[in-house]
Amino acid sequence: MNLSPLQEHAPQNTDMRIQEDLYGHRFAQDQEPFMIVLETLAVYSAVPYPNPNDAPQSSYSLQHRRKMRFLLFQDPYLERIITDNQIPDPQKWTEWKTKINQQFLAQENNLTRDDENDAFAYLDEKFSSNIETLYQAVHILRSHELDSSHNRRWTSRFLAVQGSSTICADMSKNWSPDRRFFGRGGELVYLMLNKFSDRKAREELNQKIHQRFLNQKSPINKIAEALSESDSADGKSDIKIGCLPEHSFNAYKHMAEDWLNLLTCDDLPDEHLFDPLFRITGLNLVVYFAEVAQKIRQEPPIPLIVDLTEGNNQHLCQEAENCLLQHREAANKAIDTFVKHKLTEPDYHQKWQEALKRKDLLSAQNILKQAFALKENENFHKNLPIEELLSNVIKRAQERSDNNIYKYLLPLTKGSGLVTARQKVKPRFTLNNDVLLALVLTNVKYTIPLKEFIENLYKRYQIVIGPEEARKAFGQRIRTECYEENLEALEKRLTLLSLAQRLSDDCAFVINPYKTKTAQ
Amino acid sequence: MKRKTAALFATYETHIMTDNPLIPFLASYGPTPSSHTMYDECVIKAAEENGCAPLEIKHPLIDEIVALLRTPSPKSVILTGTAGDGKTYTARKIVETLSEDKHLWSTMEKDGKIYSFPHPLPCSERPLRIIKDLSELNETEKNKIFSTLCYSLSTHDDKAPVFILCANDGYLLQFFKGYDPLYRKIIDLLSKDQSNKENPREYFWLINMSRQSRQDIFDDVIDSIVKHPQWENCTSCSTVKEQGQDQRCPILCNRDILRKKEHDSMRARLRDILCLAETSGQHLPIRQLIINVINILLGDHKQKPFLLTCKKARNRAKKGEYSLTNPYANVFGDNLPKREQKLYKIFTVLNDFQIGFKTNNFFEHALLWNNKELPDCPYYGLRIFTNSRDQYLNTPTAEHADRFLEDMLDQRRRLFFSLTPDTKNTCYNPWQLSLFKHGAEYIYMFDKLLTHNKSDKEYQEIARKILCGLNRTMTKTMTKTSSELWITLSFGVYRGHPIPLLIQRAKRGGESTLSFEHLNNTSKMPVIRVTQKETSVDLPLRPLLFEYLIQIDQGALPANFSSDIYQEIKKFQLQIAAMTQKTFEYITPKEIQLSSRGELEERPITILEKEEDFL
Repeated sequence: MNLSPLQEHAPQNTDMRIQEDLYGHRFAQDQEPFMIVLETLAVYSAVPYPNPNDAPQSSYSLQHRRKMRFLLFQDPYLERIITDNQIPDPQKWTEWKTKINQQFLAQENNLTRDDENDAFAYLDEKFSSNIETLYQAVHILRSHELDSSHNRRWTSRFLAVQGSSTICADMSKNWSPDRRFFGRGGELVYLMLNKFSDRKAREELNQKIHQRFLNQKSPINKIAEALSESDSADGKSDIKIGCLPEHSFNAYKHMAEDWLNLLTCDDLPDEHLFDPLFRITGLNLVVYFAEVAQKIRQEPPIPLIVDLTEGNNQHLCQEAENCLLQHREAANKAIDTFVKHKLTEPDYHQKWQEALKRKDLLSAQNILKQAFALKENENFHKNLPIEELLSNVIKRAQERSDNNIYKYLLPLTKGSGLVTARQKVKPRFTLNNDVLLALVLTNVKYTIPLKEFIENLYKRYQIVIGPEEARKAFGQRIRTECYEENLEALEKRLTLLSLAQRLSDDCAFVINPYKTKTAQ
Repeated sequence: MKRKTAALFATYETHIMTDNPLIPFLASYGPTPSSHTMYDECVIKAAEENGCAPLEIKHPLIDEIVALLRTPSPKSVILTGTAGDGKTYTARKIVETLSEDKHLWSTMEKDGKIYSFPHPLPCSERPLRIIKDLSELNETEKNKIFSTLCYSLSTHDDKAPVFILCANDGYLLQFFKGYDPLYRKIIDLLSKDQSNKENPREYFWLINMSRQSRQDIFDDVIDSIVKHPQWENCTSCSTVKEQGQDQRCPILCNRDILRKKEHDSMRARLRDILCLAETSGQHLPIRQLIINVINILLGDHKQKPFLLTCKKARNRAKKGEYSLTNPYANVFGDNLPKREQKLYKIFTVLNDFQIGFKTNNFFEHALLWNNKELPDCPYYGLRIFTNSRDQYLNTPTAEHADRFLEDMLDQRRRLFFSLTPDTKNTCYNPWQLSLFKHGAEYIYMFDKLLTHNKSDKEYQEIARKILCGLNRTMTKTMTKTSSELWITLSFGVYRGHPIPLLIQRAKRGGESTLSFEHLNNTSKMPVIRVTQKETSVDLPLRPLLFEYLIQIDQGALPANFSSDIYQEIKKFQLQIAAMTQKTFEYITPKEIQLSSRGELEERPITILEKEEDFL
């Protein structure tokens, strides 16, 4: 299986190119699943729509929205001045402008134009110099900050996406793209969605994303627009997009289908799509990582056992715990197989065998450097047997800090609501209520029997919940009591969420309340 | 030896003389392990053995189906539901009525497990086939019939056979799985609980027996038992003749209680409970109702099989042990061990109402100090209660306290079934003794909606309370606004605290119309409906949600209730928001604030209003 990306897209500035070739340019440890979708939406908002040549973009640019973000997250004066009884009302606007300009210009010293004395002059007309009106707008928009309890730097704080003016990208202090929270995971999802072979569906998805997330007419977007400087006056950064392996995976198709299924839930307001969307994206990434590992190792698919009994069934708990471990270890094993496999490819095979035969460490080092774009480090030049050198390279890939799927699976699954981890309890696969909702929204077009629902979850994501799926995954002879309990727990939770309805002892339905009308 | 035999013979003779064969026959319908005799096939046999006429419960459905089959364009009928719903019984009755031959069922011609009605249907001349249980068919039989059946159910053909198909719902779905659009259609009909009888484009009528309302036939169920002709036998019983009113046979006492029909009767209250259970989605098979009535009538605490025989009844009466046959406890299955009780859905459903476990100061005080205002019962009232109460009052030991508490529970339950409910919710409203403290108001509203009597003042007051509760929940304020519904959208901001903004105000006759309706299905569930142009969104008022909204109106906090109620309201809110976004192209949301009088007020978002002016 050829996993290498096209050479012109291959990442240049990395430590090595192993996970990059296996899974794609980068999945950064600190990029939580919701930030992945934020980044994807940022790419969609920056590329032309409708896309004339129907090919994914290789670059895009991100607006900085410096002044709006400064007003929202960095201005301490607005509230203070508005409540200050010492200042007469008509003077409050000028007073506030003086203060904020001082602070803004001091902070952005090198980044503002020389002639810019009043950086916020554009607000005068929009808000008729009325501080109350401004405060109302700031106050409402501020309440739309995502993950607001996290105290991040102001250039890394994000708004819920409700129109392109609300997109805030992760930026460093000097307004260059920061790769900590926008680590390219979102770019990869963008590329995956564009690999969807059904062109019509791809166009529909693109249209839905613009209609439901990037709608310029949304009231929140209008508030954000009013607080922002015009796009031309605002700064922007150009970005070259990351890369995906050339090979196509089922997971890409599933990801795109899930996005489309979710965005066609017409009875769910636009503002409520984001939460299920990032959770289902997280799940699809887990499935993607498993699929890559499975394909490279040519093994059967790895089941995803979820414990829905909230730890009440010890056996199930243990299984779900082992299952997570299995997923993580599969990522490490995939690296081992990939590295060894690569050295058997025609480009390297003969040279590598010769080096082994002659025990020629130098040429072995060169082959490895070439094959995996390895950057040298202190261990590289030690006088080691070649076999050991090779296992060192594998170990280095398995232990690297970024783009390491073994490590990344934990924050990814936790952030998506797929894993529970508490003190003294080992992490295990579960599905929290938000993921359950996301699964119903994406997988239930029409009302279906509960059994069919879990059957679909198994087919699509290898999620094992009930006894039937357990038998399919592990054979007829396993004990299924715990899976029966699991299924009961699922139904109970779906009922509490108003997503399931029991008809009789023998029959229960799963209902997607946000898609009923279109099904008729 | 001779004397012993003679004595035995004498006892036997007295039995023959006084025992009513109806009692063991009825007991076979009760909560015993042998209640499998309830299966229609066996019931007839049991009736013959005891020489009793089997219970006949008139079901309007049977006549309706027969009428349909007799039309020039009959439809196939699918009778689905769960065990005990009376699918086979209904099929048998249809055949008997159609043929006017009571013995035809057992003599009909069969191809495997598929019965053929001997004559073509009148008017249409189409053949009639009956599958009395789909799960009885083996794989070959199923494959053989599958295409004919699917054809008949999905095509209009004057020659094709008409089917009566009885199947458990799960099995039915399994059978048609993948055969679209029939499969989807069945799911749709089952989940929406709607009738397709009148739909001219569908060639079958699906009847979910589990969802048939039992309220209409509940009286018939009781009457078929308490008015059975063989009660006549009791008139010659020595207990009735000799022991007098003070030692009246407990079976007859219980029968009297069941025969009462007034507002303060057990029958009326059970019917109310059925209504609440059905609107909560808990439908009870007829078999379960019969089990319950039999247990009220014959339940006995003392020994297995926990049902009275004539002999036991005589003994209880003689010793005055009425606490053992207390129908107010037995209605909840209290005479059965806990494990057995759980086997019967009826007892689980009734116990969910927590009747007697909830109370108020008035009832506690009245029971403790013997308030004469409360109704008494000559057998199950003070007679079985005074003793333990006095013991407790005189010497309040732990042992006495325990017994007293148990007896208090029985008395509270008796009061629940013996008081007239009132919608003013006074302290002596029987619903105060249950989980649904506002059950009377619910029933009242339910009836008013069914009879389209919305101008009634009390009804309007209830509606006002509900709207206030809903406004409080949706706006998260302690508002008093109850004339219209304020629909806010709390934006889905992940781990954020978005300010909820007003997007729509629904009132009677507004752009968004607010109305109270009942669903047009078998449950007749009351709903709050918001309509915009041609579309509408419903919030089904389940009893628990109703209780929640009224209690919120009275100042309770949402945290006291389970999260599913909140989820339902959230779903309603989101569905309206989505509908509003679709109906009105551009909505200008507004901030909301609370006036000093507690009324909701809107505050425009100036920057958006300015923008609109400009547009």
